Order: sequence, then C-alpha cells, then structure tokens
Amino acid sequence: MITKLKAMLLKELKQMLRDPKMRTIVFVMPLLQLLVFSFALTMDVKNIGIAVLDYDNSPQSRAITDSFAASGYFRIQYRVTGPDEVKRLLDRGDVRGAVVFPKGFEKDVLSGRSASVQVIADGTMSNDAGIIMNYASGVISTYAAKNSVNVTETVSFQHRNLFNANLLSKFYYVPGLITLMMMVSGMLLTSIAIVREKEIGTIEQVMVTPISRTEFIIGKTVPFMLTGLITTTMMFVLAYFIFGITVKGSIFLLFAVVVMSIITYLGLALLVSVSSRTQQQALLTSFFLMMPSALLSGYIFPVSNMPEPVQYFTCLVPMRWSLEGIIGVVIKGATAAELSKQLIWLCIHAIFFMVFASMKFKKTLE
Amino acid sequence: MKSGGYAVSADGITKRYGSAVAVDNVSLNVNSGAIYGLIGPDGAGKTTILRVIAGILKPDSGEAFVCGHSCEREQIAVKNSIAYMSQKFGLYPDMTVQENIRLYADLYGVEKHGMRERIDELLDFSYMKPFKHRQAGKLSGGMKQKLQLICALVHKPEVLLLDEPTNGVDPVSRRDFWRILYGLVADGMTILMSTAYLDEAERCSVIGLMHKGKIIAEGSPEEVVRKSGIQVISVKDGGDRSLVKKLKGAMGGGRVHAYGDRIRVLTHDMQTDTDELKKLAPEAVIEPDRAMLEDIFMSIGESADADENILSLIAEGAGGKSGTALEVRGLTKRFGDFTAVNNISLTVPYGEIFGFLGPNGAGKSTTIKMLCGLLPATSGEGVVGGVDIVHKPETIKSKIGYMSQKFSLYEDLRVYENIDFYGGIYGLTGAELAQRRDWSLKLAGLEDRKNLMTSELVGGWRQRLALACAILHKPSIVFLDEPTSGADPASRRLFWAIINELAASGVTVFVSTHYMEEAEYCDRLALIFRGDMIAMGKPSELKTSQMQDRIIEVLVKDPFSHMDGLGKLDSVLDVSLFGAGLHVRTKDTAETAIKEYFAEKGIRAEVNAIEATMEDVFVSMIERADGGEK
Repeated sequence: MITKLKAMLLKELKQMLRDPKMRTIVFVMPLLQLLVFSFALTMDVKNIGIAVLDYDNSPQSRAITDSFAASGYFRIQYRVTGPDEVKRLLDRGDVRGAVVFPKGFEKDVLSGRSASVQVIADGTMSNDAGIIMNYASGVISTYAAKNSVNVTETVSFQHRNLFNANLLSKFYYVPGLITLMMMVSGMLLTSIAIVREKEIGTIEQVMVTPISRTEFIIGKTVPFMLTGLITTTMMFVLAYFIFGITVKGSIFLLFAVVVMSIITYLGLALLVSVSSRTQQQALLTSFFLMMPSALLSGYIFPVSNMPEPVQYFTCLVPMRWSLEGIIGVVIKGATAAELSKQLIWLCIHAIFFMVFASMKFKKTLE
Repeated sequence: MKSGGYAVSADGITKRYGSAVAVDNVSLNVNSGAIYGLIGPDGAGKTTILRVIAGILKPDSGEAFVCGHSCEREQIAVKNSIAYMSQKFGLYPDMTVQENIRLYADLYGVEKHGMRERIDELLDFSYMKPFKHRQAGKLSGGMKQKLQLICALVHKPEVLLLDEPTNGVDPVSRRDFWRILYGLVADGMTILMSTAYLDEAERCSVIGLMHKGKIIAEGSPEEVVRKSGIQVISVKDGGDRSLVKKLKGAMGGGRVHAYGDRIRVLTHDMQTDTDELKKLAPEAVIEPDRAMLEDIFMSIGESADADENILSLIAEGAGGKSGTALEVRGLTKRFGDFTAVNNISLTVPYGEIFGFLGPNGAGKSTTIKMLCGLLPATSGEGVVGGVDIVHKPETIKSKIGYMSQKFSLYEDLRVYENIDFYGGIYGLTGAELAQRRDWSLKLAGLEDRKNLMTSELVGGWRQRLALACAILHKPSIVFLDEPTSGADPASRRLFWAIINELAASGVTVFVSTHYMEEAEYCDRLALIFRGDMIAMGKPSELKTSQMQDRIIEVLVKDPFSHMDGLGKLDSVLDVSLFGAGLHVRTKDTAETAIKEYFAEKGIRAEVNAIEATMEDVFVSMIERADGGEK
C-alpha cells in the first residue's frame, strides 16, 4: 500500500513540478492574481470628488475640511448649502461622497462632548463606498488624535446603497479572494488530472496494475492538496505583508478550514475529471461549477439577502462554508465552537465528494 | 529549370535538429508517374524529407522542387500540385465522411461545379460510398487512411506525398489501399512515399534505402537487391525455435534472421555457408532463396549484435510456470446492440505464444482487454492465471503484464522514472526495484539514456521500454496488443526474439499483430473477424488443412494492369497484389489458363503454384467468412 502510494505520489509531483509553465501556474498565478485583484480593488481610489456641506462654518469644521483636502484621497469639488444639493450631486454622479458638519459642531468639540461628522458615500460602487468610509474615518480620527478632541463620524449612505448593505472592505475581500483563488486553482488543476491520463491513454497501462482505486485517487489528490496548502499559506503571508491582514482567530482552526475546503474542491474536481471524456469537457464543467459557486457563496451578494429557497440551496455550495469559515477565523476571530455549523457542512462536503469520486472511478475501460 | 523535368526533385537537402543531423545532403529525383518508396530504420530521416518536399519544413541547406516549382519560394504553386498525408490522423472525427471531403474540397478551393461528381468518383473508387454518412472517428483504421487519401486527392494533385500511410492497417485494407495507389499511378500521378512494410516497398518503381540521414542505396527494388551482392540461404526448420539461436551463435547474429516459418541466412559465399549450415542443421531443408528487400534491410541494421545480451536477460527476469495458463469459455462483449466479441473459447498452456490475427476493428483488442480484466465481459466465464476473470478481475492484474496498442507510458517522465513508477505500483522496493530497473534498462537498450525524457524516444526503444515496464513484476502471462505496429523490420525482429525467449522460459504470451510473417512465429493462432473466432490452430495447420484454396503466384511487370483480366478467368476466385507480384486464389489449378492469358498478350510472366502464405490464408478465410454472411 505504502509503496504503491509513494510511487503514485512521486510520479504526480514530478509531472506537476517538472514543467516550468506548470510551476508558474501552480504557485505564481494565485499570488499574482491576489495581488492584481487586491490592488485593482483597493489602491485605485484617489482624488475622490466630494461635496462639503458645512452648517457650522467654524474654524474646527474648516480645519477638518482642510485635512480632507490635504489627505490626497479627497478633492473638495463643491461646497454646498443644502442637503438637496448633496443629493443632486450624488445622483448625477458628480461627487462620490459628501461630508456634512452639523450646526454646533465646534461647540461640541470644544466642550469635549462627542462631536459628529456625517459622511455620505455613494453606495452604488460598493467598493468605493467602503474605501471612502475607511479613508474618511482615517482622516477624521487622525485629526481628532492630533488635536486631542473627540470627533466621531456617523456613517450614512445614499439611499441607492440599500441593495448592498454588505459593504466590502479589504479585511473582508482579501480573505474572500484567497478563498476564491483556492477554489479556482484547486479545481482547474485537479479536474484535468484523471481525464488527462484518459485522453493520452496512459491510464490503460495503470489500470492493468494491481494499484487500488483508493491508492490511485489518493495519489491524485495529495499532490494538489500540498500545492494548494502551499499557495494558500503564501497568499495569507502576502495578505499580511501587503494589506496588513492578520489572522484574529487560531491559525490551527484556519488551516483546519483550509484543508477541509481544499479536500472538498479536489473531490468535486476529481468527480468532474472521472465523469469527463476529454480535458476540454472537464475544464468547461469546472468553470460552470465555479461561477455559481462564487456568486452563491455570499462573497459578492450576502446570503441573507437572497430569497429564502436560494438561501437553503447555498448550503450545497462548498465555497459558502469555506468563505464563512475563513472570514470567521481571520476577521472575527471566531472559535471552533462558533464555526461548528460551517465546519460540519464542510466536513459533509469533503467526505461526500471524495467518496463519490472514488466510487465513480472504475478500474475498467467503460 | 533546375528540376530537370522530374516531378519531384531534391537537391542536397540537409536538416539538423539541434546537433542531430536528421537528413544529410540528400538528393533524389522522382520521374513523373513513378512510385518512389523511402525505406529505412526508424529515425533515418524519411519523414523529414517528405516534410521538406511538402514545403512545411525549411531545410538548413539544399532545395526541393515539385513540378519545377521551388518548395521554399513558390509555396502556393507547390501546395496546389501536391497532396501530403502525414502520419497523424488529420480529419475531424465528429464529422461524416462526406463532410470531411467537402471541407477539404472547400479548403483547396475546388470549384463547386463538378465537385459533387469528383467526390462521388473518389468514393466509388475507394469503395467508401456506403460509409459516406458515417462519422470519420467511427471508421476502422484502414478506412480512416482511405478517407485521408480521398481528402488529399480531392483537388487533383499531380504529386502525392505519403508518410507511412498504411501503418497499423490490416493486410486486407492494405491491399485495397494499394489498389487505389496503382490506379492513381495508372492515371499519371506521381507518388513519393515512406513505408515500414517492405512488401509494399517491393511494389515501388524506385526505392531509396535511408540510413542515418543518407540514402545508401537507390534504384528499382531488384537493382537494390542485386547491387548489394547479398545472397540468401533459406533454412526450413520444421518448427524448432531453438535453431535460430544455434545458428546465430555459430554464424554471427547479424546475418541469421527468422522470417516467417523459415530462417534466412545472408551470405556472400553461397557454397561455404550452405555446407556449414548442412552440418549445423542436418534435419532442416536448406536451399538458396531469392534475396528480398527485407534481407537488405536487415544487413544494415546494427541492433543485431545487441540481441544476445538482451536475450540472456529474459530468462532470469521471467516468471514462467507450467500447466494451463488460461481457459475461457463463451467470452462475449456487447456495446449496446453491437457485438464486439462473440462467444470466444480458448485454452492456452504456459509457455505458448498465442497470436490474434484479424482486420482492424475485428475485436482483437477487446478480447485482450477482457482477458486482462480491463473490460468486464457481457457473458462468458474463464480463469486467467488461476483467477476467475468474472468475479476477481482485480486479482488477475498482479499476475499479468499488458502492453496496450497505443504507447501508454508517461512521456513527461524520464525513462528511469517510468520504470520506478511501475515498479512502485507493482510493489517493488529497495534492492529489488534497483535490480529490476537495471534489468529493464538493459532490456530496452536504454542504459545510457535512462535520463532521457520518454517523449524523446523513437520507434523500437519505446516499444521495448513499454514491454520492460509491462513485465517488471515477472508476470507469467503477458498480453501484447500490436506491440510491433509501425516499428522497422530490425526492431520488430528483436522484439520477437524477446517474445520467443519469454515463451521459452515458461511465460504465456498473447500477441496481436498485422504482420503476417509475425503470425508464423506464434505456436497457435486465432483468426478473429467481426467478433467471431473463424479459425484457430498452428500456423502450419492453417496454411494446409484449413486452407481450401490454391495460390498461384504471378510475377509480371506492371501487375496492377492485369488484375481485372486475370480476375475474369474461370476458376479464379480472387487476384491480389502480393509484394511486387500477384497472388491468384483459385479453386483448382488455373495455372494453364493464366499462362495462356499472358501468352496471348505476348507478355513475359512467371506463373507458379506455391504454398499459401499466411497472408493468403488470412485473406481467404476472411473472404469466406464474409461471403458466408451474405
């Protein structure tokens, strides 16, 4: 058993890692994509045009306005006098946010009471809205710290944002992206694993050997499992160094979720591979599986906003559980007990797909 | 005009791949209306020359011309006057025969007017009309090749370039293919082809024998044989397989070769060698024989010396036994309503070489796969190596070795890595694995090349490596599905020597083949046709007691033109091309009638009644089975 498995593993690893192109696809592509997507989504926001509605018109409010302008993120495009104007500018898309100072703002600041600034963001571009909120909050808190005053921002969104209450932030979408990349690279690579041998004809020679189905399937899975783990780890490291994302919960729990997710994706991919006749078929099938997975996982649209029947259906989408698990551990610092639902579902998925795939794999040619 | 009026002409072509010289300053000229055959060992440079002439490969130096046009500078003119058929199946498998032909007609810009007539004419001529609505992927091997040829011919080219067009095609289909080729030449077409079948080479008007990138002999087949000065002594051993080894030992392995049911000894001194042979094999029938291209080919091979070393390896590496190796009854396989294998029963002892013969798609591979436990049988029962094939197909797998028709080792692994992989999954470790690895490398002749990527291996090496991997675990039953398909004659000979050695050490070898002379090396043969086993027995039995028809050999110039005429004579059943001549199959003696036929026309022809060859038996039995069905 061990000899056969070892032979199978070595062979798979050699085949995968020998080809420089393959090495790039396995290790570099996920990192590159994580970087590109993350930067594309985060760093591109500069010089955001905003409108300022200053009911207070005091030195304090003007000073904060100046800090906004000086931050480099914002450009004061309009100074307006009434809320209707703010709404009109936002509706026309002339500005993407607005800052509103209430009357008596300076008085609150100087008296040491909690003073508040209202920040309005255009919710149609959910990413931008999140970023605007973050930057605005940053500008305000920097100002408050520097002048040792107590200012909080009240966040308020334009009415158009209602469909997207689940505003993304980098703390949310970078781990989400990692989850997505984990699925994409795992599924694409593995889905061709068996069908490729079928297509080239090498499987015929392997089938006449005494290797068992389990050995064959494990031999096909473990190498991808390893590369999957390595790339996922690398992505989290990258996320830490570039985006400053730390894992709030237990690293051990995080890897438990990651391993179970990878096993699930590999099982699903092997199932695709076993059922396909050509590599093309396998790749297309996994593509069509990944699209709805990503959309129904809650990554883009929150599951709670979906119609109820669809919400039940999303239980069958493995990415939903790995996303919730990873976000839970990384951002919320959730414990295993808190994530028991996600863990159980992932476990069911992992076992189901693995068992189903190895049952579907026959050592005969029909 | 530089090409001097030749249909095809190559002038000092050299082509290197890296440091390896594939073609080394080769010049050749092909007359209009001739068939020029390129022959030679694998990797001699035949394909490279064809590609240069087809204009798809740029030579490093030298130039090729087709009908006076330079293949490099006047590509359009060249492409319009040639048709090129590569070794790979280049048609769309999910399109029908007719759709494929239409597509090619459109690609070549054949005028719509008259296109349908042209296609019908080609379909008629190739007997493909009944299949025109069938998907190309579902055709048999022989028909696929014919379809490729039709597609190549649709724009009425002047020159036809064929790269081993009949590789892996059964004898019946090959005859049919050649009938078409002769017909084309009769209409004035020029053909330049490469082939691994030397009986086909005998039919060419001119042949070029290539070796290591050079043409080392050129001329008509008779000329090439005559100029080589090689004479042949034939030794008929009466079924004693050890005689070949004995003679090889005594006279030098390079000039003693088994061929069909005889041993052929190449000689430059007829008298001395005949005397010596008589001493060595007093029982055998020893007589001078006509030298054939096959003999010339073997004389240039170098692998012959390696033989003995390799053969001595086999005995130590085989896991032979005695008793019954395999017994199956009523083995049947159906795919839907199509019966691929119908009710086959066999009993085979250990140490026997059992051959499966039959046209493409007859069910040979399916039978072998069922015996290996790769395909579950629809019905029937049996025992392979003492294991029930219906209930325990997985247990069989550790007892057998199997080599599939298609090369199925991992091309992206190194040679030794493939061996290690298969060693590992057969459960070999440590010293045992190391020992078997060395053994396999020696057997495959790849000791110096064990770090090579498997994809870089050619021809005979691939096949021997595949065999080594299939018998790593010392199985006592080995299944080889067309192991020698497409290999050159020298490699095939060596491969069979290995098979013989395996059998001698008590291993049962099942082998399927398209080469009729290879069928003679088997202890017993089963002839399979459309899923039925239509004959079984020793080769000699099949050729005598089971052969009802008589064969008359006709050696005549331009044999194709007489096929119709001879076919109309009374008592002639069938006329077919055989080597450079014709074989006429008759009910009783038609010798006189045939002689009269040629006398009337004033044509000189040699007409002799001969003992049927395996190919005659094959064709005769298949036609009888076919006729019986109608």
